[in-house]
Amino acid sequence: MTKVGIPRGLLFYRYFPLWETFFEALGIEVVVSAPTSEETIRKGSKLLPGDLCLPVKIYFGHIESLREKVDFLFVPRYISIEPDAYMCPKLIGLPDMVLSTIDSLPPLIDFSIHCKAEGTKAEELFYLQAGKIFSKNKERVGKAYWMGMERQSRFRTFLQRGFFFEEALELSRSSDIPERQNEDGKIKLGIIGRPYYTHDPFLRRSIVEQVEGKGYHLLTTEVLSDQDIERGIEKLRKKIYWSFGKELVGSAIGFAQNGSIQGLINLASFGCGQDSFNFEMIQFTIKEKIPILSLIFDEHLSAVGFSTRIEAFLEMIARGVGQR
Amino acid sequence: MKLSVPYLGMLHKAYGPVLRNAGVEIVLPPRPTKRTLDLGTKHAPEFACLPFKITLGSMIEALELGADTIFMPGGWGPCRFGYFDVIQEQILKDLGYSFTMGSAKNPDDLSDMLDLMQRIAGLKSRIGLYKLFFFVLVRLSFLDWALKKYFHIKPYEVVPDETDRIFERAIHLIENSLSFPQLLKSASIISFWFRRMGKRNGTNPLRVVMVGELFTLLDPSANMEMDMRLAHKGIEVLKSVWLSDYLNDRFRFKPFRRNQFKFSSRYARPYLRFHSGGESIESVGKTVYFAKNGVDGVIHIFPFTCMPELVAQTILTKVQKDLDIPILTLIIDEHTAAGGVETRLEAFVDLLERRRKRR
Repeated sequence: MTKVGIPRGLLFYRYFPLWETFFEALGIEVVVSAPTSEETIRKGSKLLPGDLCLPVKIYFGHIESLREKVDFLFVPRYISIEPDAYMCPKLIGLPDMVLSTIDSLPPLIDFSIHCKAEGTKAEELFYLQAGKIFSKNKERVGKAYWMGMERQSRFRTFLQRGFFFEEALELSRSSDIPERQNEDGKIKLGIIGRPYYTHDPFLRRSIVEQVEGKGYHLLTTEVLSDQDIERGIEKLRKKIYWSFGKELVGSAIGFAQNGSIQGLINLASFGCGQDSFNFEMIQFTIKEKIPILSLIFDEHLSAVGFSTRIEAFLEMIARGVGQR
Repeated sequence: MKLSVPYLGMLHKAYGPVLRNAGVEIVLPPRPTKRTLDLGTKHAPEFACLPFKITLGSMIEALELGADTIFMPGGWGPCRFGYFDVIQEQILKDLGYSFTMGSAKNPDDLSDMLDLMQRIAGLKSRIGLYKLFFFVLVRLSFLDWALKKYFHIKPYEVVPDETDRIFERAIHLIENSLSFPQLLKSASIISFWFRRMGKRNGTNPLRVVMVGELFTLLDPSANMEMDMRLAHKGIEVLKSVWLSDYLNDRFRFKPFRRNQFKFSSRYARPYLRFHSGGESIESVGKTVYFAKNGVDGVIHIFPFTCMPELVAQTILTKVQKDLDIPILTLIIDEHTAAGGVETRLEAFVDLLERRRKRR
């Protein structure tokens, strides 16, 4: 059976259910690289210039460990997923970067999704192109895409109910939708970051353990609906033209407006160009309403480094809540 | 109304006299210095890029001098530049300055740009504004032309620094040419000066192309006058992007100059198939083009945390191997010092000289 490799990095944490269902419906075996580890980061850092951000390095580490085991590598080029916003330049140049740094690669599946140029049909077009490699039957490809979309929307529902990636992925395989157990009594904190931060178990591990261990409940950006996010950024002087930027800023403001959280934890990469601006926007709009803790990741990350800061932050929040 | 525009290469020389002539009051802060950068760094987000910090510092200095309107074109991604105006406005208003930030919805669009200029410069006549805008662009292209000419001729000069003197006079002459006929006349005078200059025969100078991000490539405050340093070492300097070409790709005021973006895309295609923002296409495309057309080395220069150029840097490692061309990557931030840059340039030039001897 033909094997398609999907590196466990970057947009994997957003679109994997769709990708998996799509390829499996076409009768292709999907091979995913092992979960992120120190080894992944080491491999990736060796391949790339030092100033690139950690998620890209992790992605390259995953490709490195995957490339010999598969017949095709799935490295899509996400240029824009909405008509008026771009993705990160590094995602736009991703397949080209992969091709110029790693030798002896299997063929890449590297078509583009460009909604800004092609309209809302772009995503469907992308999957039709990708499916063409494996099946001449257009109907079958179309059907595979719709099955993928169905699974993806189920997956989104679970994220919206507050599950993290792994649980949501597991649950989206079956058709029933359980409620998450009630967390009403707990103090809620927002965790703002790109999906490849908040949903990569290796990166968020220490933070989530510590925060939830202390009896707090964490909400990711996906908990808010698209309307909430749109409402959040509506008042900005200029619309944000990055999809993730919109999501981060919009959800931070959304959280602040609906008053559901007591504090905000912001996860970002060292040297992330977009987040430097997004975080500035968040600070400008809500810093007087909600305490914010910003954690910056690089490849030298250690779990203990953050724990003191998180502890201090949690204590501050506990005191704030007690005073009220 | 006191208008201020942050520095970008020789842009202030192109618009300054023309706008003053049209009755617009312009505040020109001192050229960015250490203080400018310190001011910018102090108030900017930590990971904002150098152009952001320098222009922010410049804006503060202009506001201190009494400017009340600031021009920052804005834009629509994927590079951060399009969001400069919003963040800078917020930072400056937080600092207590009151002013108007003039930015266009889409600065690549002529009518948006003219709307903006009409608003901030307070000019009534639309046709007059149209003429003025294109006249500024044409002046800019003449300034770029003089600088290109300077870089081309400098390695062949006989009398030390004669080229520099001519260049200074040339810039002065273009600056003071306030009509088309005058501009053309100045150009012919300048070419005469350069032609008449004594040139050394039989020298074959090293050729180096500077590629990278627009601001660091063009503005002496960001690149530590690297281009001039190279020229003074007797090296012919080429650049991947010139401001006039960059604007010509958008506004087509030079009908016979080909679209440099499309030109670069063609050469970049085997390596970078889609424009990933900023000047990434030009950096890759021009490196490939010049590597195939007799350049000894490439200097890739960009600000720390610049997203598009990091993509280009990753891709250029492959171009370097494939085309056997040395590339020096210089990443500039607020801690970069002229001395450090100088050492690296010298080492690079040594390497190029040795390579040439070996051939």
